[in-house]
Amino acid sequence: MNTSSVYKWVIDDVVSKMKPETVQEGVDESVLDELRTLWQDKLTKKGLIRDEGMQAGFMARGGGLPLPQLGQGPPAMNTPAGMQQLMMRMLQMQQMQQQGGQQQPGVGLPYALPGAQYAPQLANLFAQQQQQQQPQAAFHGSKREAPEGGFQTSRGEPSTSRRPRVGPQGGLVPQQDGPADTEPTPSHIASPHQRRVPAHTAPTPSNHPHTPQCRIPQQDGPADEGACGGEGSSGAQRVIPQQDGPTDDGGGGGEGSSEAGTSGAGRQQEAAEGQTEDKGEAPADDEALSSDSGEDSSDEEADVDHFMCCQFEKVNRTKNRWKIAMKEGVFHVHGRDYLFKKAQGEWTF
Amino acid sequence: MSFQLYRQTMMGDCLVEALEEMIEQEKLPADLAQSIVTQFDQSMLEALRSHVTGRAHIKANLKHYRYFDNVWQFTLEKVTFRLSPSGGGSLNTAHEISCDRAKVVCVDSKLVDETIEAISGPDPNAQPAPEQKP
Repeated sequence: MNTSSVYKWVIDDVVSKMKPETVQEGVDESVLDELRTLWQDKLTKKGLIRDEGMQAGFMARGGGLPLPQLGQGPPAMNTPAGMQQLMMRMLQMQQMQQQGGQQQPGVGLPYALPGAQYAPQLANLFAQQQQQQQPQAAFHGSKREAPEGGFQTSRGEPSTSRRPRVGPQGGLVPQQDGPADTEPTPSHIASPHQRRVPAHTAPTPSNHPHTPQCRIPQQDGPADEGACGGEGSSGAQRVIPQQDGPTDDGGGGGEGSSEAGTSGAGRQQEAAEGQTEDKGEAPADDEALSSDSGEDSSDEEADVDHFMCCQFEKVNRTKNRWKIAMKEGVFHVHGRDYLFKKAQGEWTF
Repeated sequence: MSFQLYRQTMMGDCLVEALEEMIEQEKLPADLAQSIVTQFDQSMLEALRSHVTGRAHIKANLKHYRYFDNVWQFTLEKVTFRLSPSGGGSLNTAHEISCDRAKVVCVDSKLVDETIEAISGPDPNAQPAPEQKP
């Protein structure tokens, strides 16, 4: 039995064995069914239980391309590589349908994936991108793989070369994945002279007319809040947070600016606050600081992303080598659970 | 306490979350929820004993260890986990999973057996201990 089946067995066992007691307590049996549904939903969301009926149905319909493993999370949509993989798969399916013509329409398409209803539009768009890039490749005399070039171009090149994302009928393809891509539109960027600058704002680098690229959202690395104010701080004076030295209270780096930043900036700010505590100045949030510093001091408690529960039969240590005989364990690693009946551990201290 | 070990798994976490939601909505009395969690402890253990056949090998660097009240806790680094789901074959060719860091909690199996026996009587499938020669 795989992990999913074992977990389903546990759910069934708990529900069935609790029925007599539930009736005895005077509680309706349907509560247990509701609990089962809720419990299964939570496990399915975490990818620990797979809906095997859906996969079996997909394979029975003749889908030749495998669905992504739910336990590993959706591969596509979140990353450029995953999106590229999905587009390739859609294009491949479209070609198969066009060439063969014997398959039922839509057979094998990854219906389980979010945004699958836009599969034909996305595939057409991808085909258009391929056609537009082929002349460039021929001109340079190099043979590039089209999908990579297509996506690097659409994401990486400056805004001047960006093509608007237009569907086959000329309409915009709605974005289904990831954070909202605030692609520069006329209302967003316009000309520097059209940008609204508050009258009370002093001439700082933030409202300098030659920084229109400030509006392009940063996709990688820690958020550079100092260079570009967040969406939440529009209309307010942009403040470059101080990262080193004693804090300057006159800078106006209040709570609002920290909320507008990302978590990375927040961490930097916490670090800066920690420095202030070391220097004896009054920290902004005593409780948060004390709990953080407590976690830092005991780093053995910090990371529980990968966690194993089991029983031990024997623990043997020879010098710095440990041998552990374990049994009946669950190892949660990389978002999945692995079950074992027996395990042997060899650890070096 | 000893065989409440599996409440810490994602399976146990999800159950507790679901029960808490239902208690908040007053669909389930708290004492019945407690009974359900206790039943989960037994069912999870039974599932691991009866339905799981996997055999694993774990190689890692040990960073911290602690032993208290029949429970070992280990913090491992550079963990390599090999699992043969069927339990057969060589583990050298088995599926390998790696992670930088992991925490391991091991409860004494004798304690678990004693607790189970106290709750549900002796295990009929358990093999009798061999007689020791004088």
